[in-house]
Formats: sequence, C-alpha cells, structure tokens
Amino acid sequence: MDQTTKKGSLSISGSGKAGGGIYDSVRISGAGKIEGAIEAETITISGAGKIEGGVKAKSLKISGSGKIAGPAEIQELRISGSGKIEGDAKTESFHASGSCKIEGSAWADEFHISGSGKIEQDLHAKDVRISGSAKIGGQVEADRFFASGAFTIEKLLSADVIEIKLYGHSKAQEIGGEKIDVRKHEETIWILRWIWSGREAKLETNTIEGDEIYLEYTEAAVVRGKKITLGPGCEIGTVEYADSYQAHRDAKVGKANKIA
Amino acid sequence: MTEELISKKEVLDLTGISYGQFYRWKREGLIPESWFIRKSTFTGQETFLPKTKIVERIEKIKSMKDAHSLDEIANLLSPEMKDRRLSREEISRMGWVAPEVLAYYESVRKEQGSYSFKEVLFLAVIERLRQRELAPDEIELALSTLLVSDFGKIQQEEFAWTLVVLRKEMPGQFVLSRQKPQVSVCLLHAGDILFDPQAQTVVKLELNKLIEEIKPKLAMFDPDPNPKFETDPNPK
Repeated sequence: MDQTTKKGSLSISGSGKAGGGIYDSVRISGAGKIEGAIEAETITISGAGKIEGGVKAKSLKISGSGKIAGPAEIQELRISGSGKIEGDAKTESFHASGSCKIEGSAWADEFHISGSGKIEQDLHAKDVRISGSAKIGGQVEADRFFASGAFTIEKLLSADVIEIKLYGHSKAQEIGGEKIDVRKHEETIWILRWIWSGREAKLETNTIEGDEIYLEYTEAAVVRGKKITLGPGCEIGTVEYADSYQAHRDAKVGKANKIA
Repeated sequence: MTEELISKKEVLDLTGISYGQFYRWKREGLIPESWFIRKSTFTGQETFLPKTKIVERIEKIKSMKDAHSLDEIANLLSPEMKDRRLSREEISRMGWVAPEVLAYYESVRKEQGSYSFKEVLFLAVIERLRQRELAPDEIELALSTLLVSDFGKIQQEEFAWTLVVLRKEMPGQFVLSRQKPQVSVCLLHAGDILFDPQAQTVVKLELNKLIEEIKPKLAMFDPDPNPKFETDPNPK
C-alpha cells in the first residue's frame, strides 16, 4: 500500500456504525458495523463486527464474531472466535481455531483449521492441516494434506502427499495423489482411548488412486495404485495394483488384480 | 460429439506417467476440468477422459516439462494470452507468416500498433488458407467470419471450434443471379455437423489446435533477452 498518503484509522468500541472506504487500521471491539467495502492494512474484530461488503487487507483478526458480506482478499487471516465470509477468501495464510464458514472458495498457501470449518466451494492450498472438523462442498487441491480430525469433502481430494489420522467418520468422493496414507488414530492416554472407542473411525470414499497407498479402516469401491498395502478394518471392492500388494488378515477385499 | 473415452488407468498405461504426475498436472490446470466425465460403471462412479485430447495433452506436457516449469506450461497451454502483444517486426522476424499475408492483413486491419494474440491467430489462419490455395474472396470470407466472431467463446477449451470453408458447384441453369457457377461458405462450428455431400470441404481448421500450435512458437521465439511481448499501452 502507498506509504506516502496518510489514511485514517477507524476504531469502534461500544456500538457504532461507519462507512466503508480505505483505512490504515480498523478496530471493532464492541458491536460495530461498517456499511460498505473496506480496504485496510490491519483489521481487528474482537466484539461483534459486521462488514457489509468486501474486504481487502494485509491482516484480518477475528476473535469475537465477525461477518463479512462479500469476498475477502487477506494476506493473513486469523479466526479464533467465529467468522463468516459470504464470498471467496483469497489468503496467503489462513488459520481458524474457532468456527468459520466461507460461502465461496478459499485459497491459501497455508490453510489450518483446528476448530470447525466449512467451505461451501473449493479449497486450493499448498499445505492443508485439519485437526478439528472440516466440511468442504467442492474439491480440495493441495500439495500436502494432513488431517487428524474428521472431514467431509463432497468432490475430489487431490494432493501430492495425503496423510489422514482417523478420529471419527471422514468422507471424500474420490482421493488421488502420489502418496496416500490413512491410519486410525491411536490414543495414548487410556481415558481418552476409552472415550474415543465408542466412535467408529472410518474413511469412506468411492475411489482411491495413488502411486504409494497405505490404508486402514477405509471403505472404498476401488483402490488403484503401484504399491498398495491394506491394514486392518479395510473394506475394498476392487484392488488394482501394478507393482506390489499386501493385505492385513482383517482387511476385506472383493478382488485384487495385478495390472500390467 | 462421439469421442472415444478412456479411464485414468488407461491414460497412465498409454503415456507412462504416474498417478502423482496426473493429479499434479490436473491441479496445475494443465488438464481442463471439462475433460473429466463422470459415468456410472459396475464399480460405481468413475471418471473418464476423451482419449485423443488427453493423450495428446500429456505427451505435450512431457515434451515441455524439462525445459519449462509447470506454471510456464500452464501459461502456454491456457487459452488466454490476452495481455500479450507482438510488434509487426517480431511477427515478420518469426518467419512463419508470409510477408504477403501480413501485408494483406494490414490492408484490412482496423486496429493500429502492436498485434494482439487474437490477431496473431487470425494471421495464422490466413497463412493456412493461403497454403491451401484458397481464392482471395474465400480468404476474405474466412477473415470476415473470424472478425465478427466472439473470440472469448472460441478460446473456451471445452468446445473444439472449427473453421470450415465449403465450396459447392452450381450447375449453370440453377444459378440465379450470379456469374460464377460456384458458391463458397465459411462457418465456425463446434461439434459434429454433416454437410451437404455435394459440397466440397476446402478447409477445416481446428482453432484450439492452431492456438496451441502457435503459443509455443510465440513463447519460444526469443532472439534477444528483452521481453518478447509488450503490454498494451492503452487497453480497451
């Protein structure tokens, strides 16, 4: 942003309204409403803030409840309360530890969700880390995808490296990539293990395609790849492998074919 | 369109690439989303791809991947090159457009200054038509067809836009008011069309293929280290 022109700062504490526009920094700590699109260096919402338009900022922090009624272009987005963006979210780093909802697609280099997150369309990121629960209405495209929570992906999950630690019930329509590794989470603290034991850890998908695949507790119609290893709890309709195939005695497999 | 569809597994078998590469290239946008066709099979929903297109595309990526990054390839393969312009000198120095073609195009050209990608495509089309020895009025007809077309639509990859020039001989007694016993027609179409069997297809040009052919030529043409494309000083 232009350093030479002085832009004003905006601070709403208590209940107040302000117009949209270009600001240096914006702070809402009460119940504030900004009636239009804004552009700012930093935006902090720690009360209940609502921006009735799109947002462009270097950093946006929501620690109370924040709502943006438009698309957001933010380098650094931090949500620790509840945040809602009613449009696409283009970010470089996206961290949500509370609850967040993006009513469009999301872009990020780093995408971390440790609370509960919902993206209504696609997610494009370099690194995806999900440790809470996430629901994605479209496809997920990433370089690396790590999940240790539960997720639902309505379309394709594709990444070079996919590592999933199963806690609850996760779902994806299709999974594709180079290295795919799905394991059941083993709780080390016995009391937690006892609590979790009631919940079924499972990954449900139609097709898994990859070069190197290791699966546990996975239900799939087809698994295709070069090297396939099936661990306990797998229920696979057809396995098609090129180089090697191994299955645990507790894996249920319809048929396994070696393909040329 | 009745195109042969193949599964991803067959794509890998035919081209020798890995799943990792396939999915990476898809994510980079090197394989258009619209080529993925979901169909029900006995194992459930499966994805299929148009055989000729996908094999051709993968071979092209394989041949380019050592010299170019995936982003560069995506840029070369993507149909939009809207901001790139070439000067007249650059076009004539590239040497794949005949001087007559350039001169002819300039005589009908409406714009001034450097050439947009769209115009470079038009030049390539005229060049092709000239090589096929089309009559001057047929070339004019084809150029007019292109000039009034919606270029944005032509660039959409999911439709294989084809430019056809048809010629039909009209026996003397049926020709009403014209001197020539022959009519030429130029059409832009996508998908399968059956033409009048008596009409002769003089030229059939798949524009998407032509675009993909000229892009690497533009990108690889770099006699000096300075940027080969100048940006439009006054974009519309």
